[in-house]
Amino acid sequence: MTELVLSKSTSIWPFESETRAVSTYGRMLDDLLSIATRQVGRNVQDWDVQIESALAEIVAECSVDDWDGCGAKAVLPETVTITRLVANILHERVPKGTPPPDVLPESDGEIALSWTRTPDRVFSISVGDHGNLNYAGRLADGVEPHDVAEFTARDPTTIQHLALFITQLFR
Amino acid sequence: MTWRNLLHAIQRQFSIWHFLLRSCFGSLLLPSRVCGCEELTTFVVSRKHVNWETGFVREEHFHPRRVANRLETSVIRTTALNATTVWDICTQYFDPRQRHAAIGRGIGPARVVFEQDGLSFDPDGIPHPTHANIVGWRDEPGRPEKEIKHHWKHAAQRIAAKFPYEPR
Repeated sequence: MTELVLSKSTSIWPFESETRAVSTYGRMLDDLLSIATRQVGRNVQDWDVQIESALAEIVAECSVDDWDGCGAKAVLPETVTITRLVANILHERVPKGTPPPDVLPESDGEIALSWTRTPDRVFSISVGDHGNLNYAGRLADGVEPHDVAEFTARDPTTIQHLALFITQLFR
Repeated sequence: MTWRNLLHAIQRQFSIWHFLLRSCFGSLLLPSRVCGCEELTTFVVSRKHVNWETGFVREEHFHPRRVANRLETSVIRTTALNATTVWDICTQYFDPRQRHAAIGRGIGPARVVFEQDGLSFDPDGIPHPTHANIVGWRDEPGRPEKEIKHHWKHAAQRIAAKFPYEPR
């Protein structure tokens, strides 16, 4: 049994399919565990899949000036690269199960990473080619942080700070 | 009665007055100042500007654009207009200026704009008498936009939360 569990080390919950509860209560726990596992697994996978898919779409649609017909600035390749980097580092620092952000082009050529819990509970980071991250959020009543922070891949302080806000949004 | 209550009472009076005027004479007699009690509409062209999970317009839709060195966000005043009239205005004045026709609109109160620090309206009435721009977005001469954009995001998030999306 132990060997079998260890051999499935890629599973988030190693007992997933190996244990079969006998009692009703146990089966219920089993089901809940299974749902939670699928949920966590989906979210972890979705970060990469969804972000790459959204970035590809942005590259295809927003790489030239006036992509929205209203004078929007082109999204530069550097902006896409930095956004990918920011999202990847954030992914490592938020709790497992945190949903991936919506990735949206902005009219000034930046890309927004945006998390929504309800219309009143949101957090968004705008990423540009300049390395500054403008963020704003509504995390709880009266808790509405907004500021600009410098991003460097070598210094995780900024991202750590932002990850805490995202964690707070979904707490 | 506190000053705030008095102010709200006056606003309500004016709002009813405005409503009657507009019901009788149409949008040509819109008051020169936007009242907090008015309803605003913002036309949505891109599906990306709608949060389909919540059914509200996204923050990015309200980010200001710099026009003639002024930051502004375009809206129209639709308190007494029925949906058919609003979409007629869209078809005649908004759609021809866009690459794609509007897919829907966000509807919300003017009050939420006044509640944001520094924001107000310039009801320029161009190209239609109901048109107005949200102005007063934080702008600091000599400071690049990349350093002040978070102020716009903050205000836009608070506004967007009051603008549910309605498809065309």
